[in-house]
Amino acid sequence: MNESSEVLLAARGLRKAFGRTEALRGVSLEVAHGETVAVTGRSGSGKSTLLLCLAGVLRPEAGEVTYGGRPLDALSEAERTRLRRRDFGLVLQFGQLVPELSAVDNVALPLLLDRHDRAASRRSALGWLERLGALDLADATPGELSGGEAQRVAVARALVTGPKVVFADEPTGALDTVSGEQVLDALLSAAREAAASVVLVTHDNRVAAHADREVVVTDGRIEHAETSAVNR
Amino acid sequence: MTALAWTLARAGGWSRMLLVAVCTAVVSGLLLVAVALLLLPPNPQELFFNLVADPGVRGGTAFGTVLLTVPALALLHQAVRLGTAARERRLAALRLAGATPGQVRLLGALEVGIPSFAGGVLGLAVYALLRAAFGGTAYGAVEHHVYVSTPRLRLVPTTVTPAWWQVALVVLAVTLLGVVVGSLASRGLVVTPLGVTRRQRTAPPRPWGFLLLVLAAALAPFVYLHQALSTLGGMVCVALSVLGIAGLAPWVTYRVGRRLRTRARSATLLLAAGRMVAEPRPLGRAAAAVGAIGLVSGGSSALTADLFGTNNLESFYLVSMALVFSALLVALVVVAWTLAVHTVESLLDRKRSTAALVAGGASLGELERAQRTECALAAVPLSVIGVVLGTLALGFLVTTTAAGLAVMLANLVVTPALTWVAVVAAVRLVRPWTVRAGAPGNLRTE
Repeated sequence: MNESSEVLLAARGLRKAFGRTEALRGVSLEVAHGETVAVTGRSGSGKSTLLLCLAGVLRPEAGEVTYGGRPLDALSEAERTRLRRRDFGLVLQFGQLVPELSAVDNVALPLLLDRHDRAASRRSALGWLERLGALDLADATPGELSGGEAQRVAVARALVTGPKVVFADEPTGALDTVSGEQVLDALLSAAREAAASVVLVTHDNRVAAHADREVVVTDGRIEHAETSAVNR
Repeated sequence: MTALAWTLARAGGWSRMLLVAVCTAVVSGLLLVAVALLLLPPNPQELFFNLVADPGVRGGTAFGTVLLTVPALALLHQAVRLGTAARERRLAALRLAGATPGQVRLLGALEVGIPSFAGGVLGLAVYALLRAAFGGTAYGAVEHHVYVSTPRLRLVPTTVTPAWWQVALVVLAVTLLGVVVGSLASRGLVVTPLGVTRRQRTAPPRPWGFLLLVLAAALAPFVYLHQALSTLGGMVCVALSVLGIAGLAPWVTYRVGRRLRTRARSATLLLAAGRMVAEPRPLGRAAAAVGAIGLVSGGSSALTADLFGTNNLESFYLVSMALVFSALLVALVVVAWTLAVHTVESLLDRKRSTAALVAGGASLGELERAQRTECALAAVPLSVIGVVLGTLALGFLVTTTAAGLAVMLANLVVTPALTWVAVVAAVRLVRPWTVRAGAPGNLRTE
């Protein structure tokens, strides 16, 4: 990330508080095109808040987030919603799938929200489920899936729109080691294939080791940033 | 045990307790009015509107008053379900603390029973209010010209009052009703010390309501042909039809949802249909009263058409029909509240997935459209079924003119349209909860 033109997503001086608790105290971070950045830190350090601010879900009280050089604050709520739907993909700790819909419908949902044709959305969703080795789960509802299976479906849902950035908040946090590795491999390889940047929040150093770069958040500040061991 | 139940009930929030108490108070108040109507002697020394004054139709008026409790009971069912997820966690914690399954059931029953009892007692105040607003005027209480000229609906007896034991019976019945509704709301739950699970993949709802409708249809010719049976038989037919169409509601919800789920071309329709298939019973029960309202509305429109046909456009008949339609409008307002409470409960149950939907790019407008579609798809078809059945049931028996026919046809459109308005109002009422459910803070909460 030597040239500023490569920067896709940037945060400058972000501050965010919940009541009297300051979750972010002036955080700055840049994410380049196609880069995978791991954000690590202890529980309550502010890493999830940082991810949600970067994804345009939370609005910081000070500082700004820019995407493609454009400040997210300049966007209306409707524009932010469209941005999250089309350019961003989100994977959360527990999958957070819609419990009433089948796996394939869950994956197709972002496309349908974007007014795509149902048949084409389903085809695309089935394609992503196949790439992630979850095609046989297409008709199952979230209640019938294991944690690892649900996360694969969640990854497919995050990638189905062809996002430029994938945000993953503890995507393996609720999984055993083997399932976690499988989900992480599936997420990162699919994101790399699609040339998407990834912001990966985790408290697990083994997970962080898969990233190109790691930043450590402590008490709402970025303590240090380093290139990941496996990618040095 | 009662002290613990009281503590648990308070933990569930005052709003839920208040809603349960208000519903049971309305039910109790209406039942007391019905009891008072039945206590009237054939020739009461009191000036009434003819629906009460005429002993021939007084029983029907009392029956209609009891029917008005149906929407309130549907709202009670939803009120009891409010905050189910939190209640289930409390019950699991009790099991972990050593409570037996029987104790948990008892605590669950008391948790609903206490506000139901309070509501039952408060029903006396509702009864007093109705009596003050719609009370008859005793002969001799005022000069004749005064009470004849006072333009007021005199429907509730003031010369007779239910005895203490009758009041006690009503309060007891309402409390038990609350407890039964509470038990129904928790049906299918398996509470273990490790948590609470719902029995998954329960069988889809069955159309048992058809049986009651068929029975009503089979009885109708006998009732029509035997004048001696007309009042009681008519009430039985109406009761069977109301119960039948209310019983059909979950099945209609499930069938409509299933049919649309595979054909949905938009995200909002897919979300709505998915929810209808996954949980047809709570939504169906919330919308059940709409079918009954449609049924009575259809029948009433046929009777109104008959007034045109027989040129019986006297004020008594017109005011009576206006009274019925006004009661139906009030019932529809209660249905709107019921659907709103159902939607709130649904949102409380799905905070995390709702927040994930918003974070993933669903707007508030899309969430509201999904809610509106879900409620409308459950309520409007029921309303159409009810109003068509009601119109057909009596429409064939009446003599009418073009104007009467126009009334019936207009009602076929107006009743479902008003149901749609009730749905829109319900979803609008719920907006603050929808916004809260979509908040990012819910992404990591249960």
